[in-house]
Amino acid sequence: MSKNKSITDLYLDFAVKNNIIKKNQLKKAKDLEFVISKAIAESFKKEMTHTLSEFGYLKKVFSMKEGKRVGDLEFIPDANLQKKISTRYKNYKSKVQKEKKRMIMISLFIIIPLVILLVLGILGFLFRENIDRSIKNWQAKIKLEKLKKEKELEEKKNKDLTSDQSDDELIVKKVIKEGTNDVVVTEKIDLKDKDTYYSEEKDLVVKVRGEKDKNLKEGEYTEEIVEINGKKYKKINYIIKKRDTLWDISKRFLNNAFLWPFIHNMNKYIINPDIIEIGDPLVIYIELKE
Amino acid sequence: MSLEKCLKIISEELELDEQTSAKLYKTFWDMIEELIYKQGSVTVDGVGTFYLEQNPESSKEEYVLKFKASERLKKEIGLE
Repeated sequence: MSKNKSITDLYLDFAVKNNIIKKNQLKKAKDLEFVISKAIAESFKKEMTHTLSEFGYLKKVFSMKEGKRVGDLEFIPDANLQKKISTRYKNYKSKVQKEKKRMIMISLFIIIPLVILLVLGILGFLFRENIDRSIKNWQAKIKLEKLKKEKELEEKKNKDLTSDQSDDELIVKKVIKEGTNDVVVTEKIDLKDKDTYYSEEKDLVVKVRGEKDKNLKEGEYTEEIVEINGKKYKKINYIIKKRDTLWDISKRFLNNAFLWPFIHNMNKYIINPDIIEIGDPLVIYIELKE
Repeated sequence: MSLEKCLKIISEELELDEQTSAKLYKTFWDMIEELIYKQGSVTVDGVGTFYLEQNPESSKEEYVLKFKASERLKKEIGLE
């Protein structure tokens, strides 16, 4: 209920809403407070008390003041009303106070972040160049840190791989060339192993079956008879020459070009049989039948 | 009874039947009671002000309902 509205207006809203008074009777009821006060006054002309329905009653009282008889009106509230009014009023007051506190808290929760955002916005606008510079510096710093870490990690990896390395062994850890027969391994290679061939700079290492005869030139070969598990073999050490193919080599040494997969199988370092390198050794075993 | 005279005047002035007048009179004071709960005090023009006052005799927070008659009403009923 609004405090700005008069008691009459408030009551008429209530009375119309609850169908106590009809709308066409409103005009007369505009003077409701005046009518009620008039009715109470008329009643008191004949009576000493006047009832205010279930609200209580008014009573004329007289007292002596400075030798004169002074009259007044005393209100005697209904007994039930007097009992409950204090509790109800306190409850209402506390409810209103709680509501006020809640509204203040809500306002603070909304206003404080808005003020902070506004201040940050103003500061951001005023110092935008400094902020941009700081952000770029920060990003650069992060990038630098990342690179540094990557480098450290790389160095650590290399160190780990080479820490156990001696003069007699080599650690190969990278793919050298795609589409070639260069070996792709990450392992320790025993350089004393007779099956290992490597360049003097140790930048190219291949594991081969058989030895490379350093006296042999491209296209040349040696032959020897070896015995393995009681069987005799002709062992051919051949150095690949220009325009050689496994097909041709098979035809030349095994008398059958279609047997080239056997040569491929005997020389495990050849990954792609279509690509063989000039100067690489090939070992071919031919079983000798008695 | 003073109430009958009062209701008769309300009926005449507002051109309402007695039943409606009685209902109006009762609900008027019901509404005043509700307003006191919410506002702590209500002034009815020509009648006076009803207000809640902390009971000075009680140590707890306790309120009592008081009334101050308007000068106009006191004058009309000869209590000046």
